[in-house]
Amino acid sequence: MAVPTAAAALLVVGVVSIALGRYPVPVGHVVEVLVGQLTGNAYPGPATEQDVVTLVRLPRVLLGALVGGGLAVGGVALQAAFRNPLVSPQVIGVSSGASFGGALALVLGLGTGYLVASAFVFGMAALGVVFLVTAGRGGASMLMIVLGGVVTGSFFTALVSLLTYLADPYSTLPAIVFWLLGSLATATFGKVLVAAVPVLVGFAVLLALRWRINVLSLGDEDAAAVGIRPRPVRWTLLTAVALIVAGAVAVSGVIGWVGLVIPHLVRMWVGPDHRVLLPVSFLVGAAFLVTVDTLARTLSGGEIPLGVLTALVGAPAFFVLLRRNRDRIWDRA
Amino acid sequence: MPGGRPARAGDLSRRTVLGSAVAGGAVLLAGCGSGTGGGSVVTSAGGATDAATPAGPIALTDQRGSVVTLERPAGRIVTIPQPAASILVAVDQSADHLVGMQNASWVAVRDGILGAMFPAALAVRHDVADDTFTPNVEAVLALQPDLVVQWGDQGTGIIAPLENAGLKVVGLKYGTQDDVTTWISLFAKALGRTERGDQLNAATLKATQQMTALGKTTTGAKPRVVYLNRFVGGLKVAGTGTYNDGYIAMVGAQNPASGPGGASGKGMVGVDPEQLLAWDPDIVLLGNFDAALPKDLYDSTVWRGLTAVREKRVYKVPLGGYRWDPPSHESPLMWRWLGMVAFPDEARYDLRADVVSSYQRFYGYQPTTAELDAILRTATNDGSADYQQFHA
Amino acid sequence: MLDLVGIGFAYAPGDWVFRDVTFGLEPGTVTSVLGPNGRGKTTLVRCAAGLLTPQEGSVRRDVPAGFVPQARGTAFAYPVREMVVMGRAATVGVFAVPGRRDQAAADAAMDRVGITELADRAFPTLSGGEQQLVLVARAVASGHPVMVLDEPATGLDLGNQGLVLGLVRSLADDGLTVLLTTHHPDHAMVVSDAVVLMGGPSEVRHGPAEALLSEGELTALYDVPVHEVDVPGAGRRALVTGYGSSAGRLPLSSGRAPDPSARGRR
Repeated sequence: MAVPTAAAALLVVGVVSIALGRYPVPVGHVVEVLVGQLTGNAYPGPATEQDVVTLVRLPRVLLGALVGGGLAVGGVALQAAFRNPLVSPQVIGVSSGASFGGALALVLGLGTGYLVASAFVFGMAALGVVFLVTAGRGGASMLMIVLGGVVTGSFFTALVSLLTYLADPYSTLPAIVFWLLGSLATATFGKVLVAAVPVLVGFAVLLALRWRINVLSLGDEDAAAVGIRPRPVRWTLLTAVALIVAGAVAVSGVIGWVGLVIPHLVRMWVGPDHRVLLPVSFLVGAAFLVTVDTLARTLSGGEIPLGVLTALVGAPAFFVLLRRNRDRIWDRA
Repeated sequence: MPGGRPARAGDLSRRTVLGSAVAGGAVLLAGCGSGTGGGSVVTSAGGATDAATPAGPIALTDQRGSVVTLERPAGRIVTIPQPAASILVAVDQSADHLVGMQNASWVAVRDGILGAMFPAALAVRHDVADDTFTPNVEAVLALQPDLVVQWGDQGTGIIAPLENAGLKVVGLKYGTQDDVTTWISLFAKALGRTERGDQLNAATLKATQQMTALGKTTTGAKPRVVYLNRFVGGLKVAGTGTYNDGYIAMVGAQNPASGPGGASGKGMVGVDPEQLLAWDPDIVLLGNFDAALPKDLYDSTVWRGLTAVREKRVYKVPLGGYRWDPPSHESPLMWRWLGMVAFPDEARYDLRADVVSSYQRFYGYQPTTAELDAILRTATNDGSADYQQFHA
Repeated sequence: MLDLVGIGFAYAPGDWVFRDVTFGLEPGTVTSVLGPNGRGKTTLVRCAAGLLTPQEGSVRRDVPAGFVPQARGTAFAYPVREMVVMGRAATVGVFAVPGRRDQAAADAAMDRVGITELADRAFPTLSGGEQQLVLVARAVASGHPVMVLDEPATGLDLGNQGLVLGLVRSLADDGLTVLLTTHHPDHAMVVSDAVVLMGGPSEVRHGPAEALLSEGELTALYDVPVHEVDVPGAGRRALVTGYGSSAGRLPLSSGRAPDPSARGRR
């Protein structure tokens, strides 16, 4: 079964990632610390080792899992809602909308709660715009959706640029720039909580609708034909996606490609049935981002921006996918 | 595809570092300005030329190697590099010849003690260029400057429009204390006050020699000192080749972020928390480029294993006429401060008296007790070890 | 079972596609809707199925209706079994997934339609006719007593046309109420008990098939000569057309005009 396999993979990736890092902690000690956390026993070794494992690496791995899983299921849901396997939170512009919302909150000096809320509002706005542009009796062609998303995304990106121009160059601007690049380097348990609430709530909503999403993915006419009203389902989907993306963007900036490549890979493995596709995509997306982030912090002395790495990995992978599976994944629509 | 702007945080800090450097150097040059007794009266030296400087054309060789000729000392100067404005004010001991500056310079004037010392500077126009130092040529022209100061090492794109408009431009480059020395000389020459420039530079040179010699005499293990350019929202440490690395070594300490086992790459390097924990510095310096405070480390669980946190040796770098982190005319004061922080049992200065006498020489200004406390950040750093030595 | 009372539909205000249409559908019967393009056949049946709401009048339906659209490709390659079980969507709860009963209904529907061996095939890989049958099975799986089909035989080859028509008739014989649109008067003749002729916004006529499926009615409807002929060996009469205009004969492009006074020898 795919779900247990993916879950096991995530667990392995997680433990390995917690064992790796610049501060030397022997693997045996890592395991001891983790076990100690679970059993409540105090760790007998150096306090710094425990701190590194539990306060530096653990939140980072958890955050990576939440963001990676969230972005992946966001991509799955968007692809169903738009009936098009080529959309993702980035393509469709919701990431840009959310990043504008977050940047706006930063410029106004608002707290983290406002940041997430603002990211959500503008992410929804971007989704709404694209949907309105592409709504039509027959549904929009791939070209229209991607164009709509590119235009919307560009619009919000331009607004972000405007904000960086207006932002105070000493305090706000560097904060915005650093955040936009996409990074998990400042992970804390506080941030894990900030991400966990919207991501898990959104994921739960998607899971609850997992079979309805199958029906929705056939198109509005087919959905109506079997007696489902597609609009409420679709708007619920989009809201859940905006919530997830807001949570992810708020803590880690804009990280692309996860929402595009992971759904494809997983669909190749388990098929298009969202009852399996959704949970497995979450797990695989989580494992993917944790792996990439671990590479980002261990490969070089500094921190390679996460968005850069996911693009370097994701773009060629997607290119290969496109070429090999063009005829299998969808027909010549 | 939608994404973010390319990072400019690094550029920003460089510029402000340079800015401080120039400000510092200029003030040193102004060391022989006529002092007044008590109070915060600013001596305005106006545009008077030193008797020793001959009237007549002035040839300025900038750091690009270009020569700009002025008929007479510049009376109206526009500065674009961030530090240039404050250095000019320090060399000139007034803001009377500064007619335009970049916005970031103005913010520093407003927020620092320079605005208190030279209120005229607050009224100077500060919309002459944007964050990328691209000049607003019409705004500059409208100010009718005799001389424009601009970065010379960022490509011709930001200089050519000014020169094409018929303006005289000197190009500066960023880097080291030596650059500051050059800037001070250049500005002094442009103002027709070469003697003041020489005096300021000589004072800095003397202080450098003193500190270097002193640094070599410290005994015992060298304390590990890390300078954090950024702490909030990502860690950036001063690595190999940075000015901060230089003065850490000068005072006789060592920087774990440079040299073997240090960060790969030069300059300000982004690192992850584990790297800082692995280096385990004895002293952490928090820069003036974000809002980090020592208590942010003391209160957090992540950093509690750090030696610097356990021994409460995290300090926020002081902020005087300009930030003390980057090279400036006030740098000798920074070196002494760092020496006292790193070797509290050895170094013996009265830093407060030093600041008072230096500011008299630099600015003709006598800071009050409260202003001294603010400069030395006693409120912020009192929670850290050995800070009583900086009290009145 | 299903009654349309005085319904009228307009896509834009004042721009009526049809008005004042009234007829009822009986269980166990097939009603075919015929008419030239653009006269509102699809609109009418979608109103009957509940997919569109008419501007005037009402559709009285005491049971839900299943709708079978024309088969088009899908973006995602669901297996046939999944496609069919989606017909159960109206009875599966919003947050639920199909259970054993739903799966059993789907299997029974596939069996009824005769596509059980296609159950594990990916839908986009099927032929047009097979896809259409899957969609019919989907509607059967829903268990709704009323089934509305939009051009179920369009685009199918002769063999598949017969398949689908036979299925439609047999479903009606089982007691379903069937409403469908078609471009082929002969298809209507084969399956229908009643027909609806849509000649224009105010020219919608409903009646028994024997009465309305006549040469005169159809020729007037399509403005093309329609003839009733005997089908040798099939024991029925068929409706065929010569494709020329009823106002006069148009020569066909092959040059073999029926008019013997044209250039006879080649």
